[in-house]
Amino acid sequence: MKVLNYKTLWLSSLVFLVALATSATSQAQDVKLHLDNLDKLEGRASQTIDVTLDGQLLRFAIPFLDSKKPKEAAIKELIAGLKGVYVKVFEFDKEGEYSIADVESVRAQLRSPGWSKIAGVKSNKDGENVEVYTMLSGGQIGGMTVIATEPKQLTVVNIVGLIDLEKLTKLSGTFGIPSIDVSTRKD
Amino acid sequence: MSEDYLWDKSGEPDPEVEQLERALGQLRYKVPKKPLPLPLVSRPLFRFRLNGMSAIAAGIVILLLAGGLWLSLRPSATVVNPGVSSGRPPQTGPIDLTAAENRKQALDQTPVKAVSVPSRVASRIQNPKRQELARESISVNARAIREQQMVRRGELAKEQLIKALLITSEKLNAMQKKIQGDQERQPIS
Repeated sequence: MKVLNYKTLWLSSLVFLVALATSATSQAQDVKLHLDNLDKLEGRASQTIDVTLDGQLLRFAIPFLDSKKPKEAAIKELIAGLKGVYVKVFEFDKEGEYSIADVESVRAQLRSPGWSKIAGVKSNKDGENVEVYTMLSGGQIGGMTVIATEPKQLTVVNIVGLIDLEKLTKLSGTFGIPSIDVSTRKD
Repeated sequence: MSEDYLWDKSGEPDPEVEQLERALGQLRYKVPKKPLPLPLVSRPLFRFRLNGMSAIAAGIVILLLAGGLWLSLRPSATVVNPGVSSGRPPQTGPIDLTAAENRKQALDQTPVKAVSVPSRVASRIQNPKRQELARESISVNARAIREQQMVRRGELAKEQLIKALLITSEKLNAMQKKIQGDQERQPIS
């Protein structure tokens, strides 16, 4: 009877651990969005920026960030809890090159449990719409997605891991960094 | 006829029995003069007795043989920077900044001299000392190339990271400004 109890306890612990690991993995997978659907826009876009940095590549970048430079020091601090950064920017020569359905493929993923829209701005003046979604993990932001749509530009940002939204917002401008030119040539 | 003859040959013999004895007597077993040369107890050809001393000696010999084999089969020693080895599995979870810093420092502090000696040239060198030097040069060269690739990959990752974060920051800023602008235009009364 005693042996059976130990066995039951051991098996229960094992099942619990497996469930925990599966849950953690599935949550990490949920935070990382599938942006492959947007790749078809590359053909129509005049300029494309595609940044895919998983955890391993982020670690590669860390030693090359100079702590003495304020901008790089801020980035270094910011990315300490990150597990992945994925950015896609498509710039088009004329309007109507991408459809609502293209954006909807991303929005649909953000309707899954855990994600919540924290801000959204719709501008009729210049037609720029920005939506910010976050996923909370243990009281902190464990993931973030930004969808910015303009008549001639579509930007989707997916950040996986713990992120300080305030520091991220302050990153451009605070240190006198000029605004990034999205029309940079594709690497 | 007395049955004593049949019993112990003491009585009067029967002529029929005698005739039968003679006929069968030819088939009687004849004892060989020399016995077969078989040993009484079989002995093993080689008897091995393991006592304490011989066990120790055998152990030392085995260790020496194993050591020699390992020395002859192991690849030539190549100094690799910590964290540079290609077999390192990808880590998961939050980033360890200190460990990454240490790796970068180790990479910076390691003197790298790129001497190019092709391996086919090294194999042609007859002098063992020169051959060893050539091999070392090749390993140093390979390390230099590997480190250059690491640096290029790291720089590229850094550039991509900065670009990605600035795009995100810019979008968030633009949204923040619009929200603030709306609030200024529509002051709460």
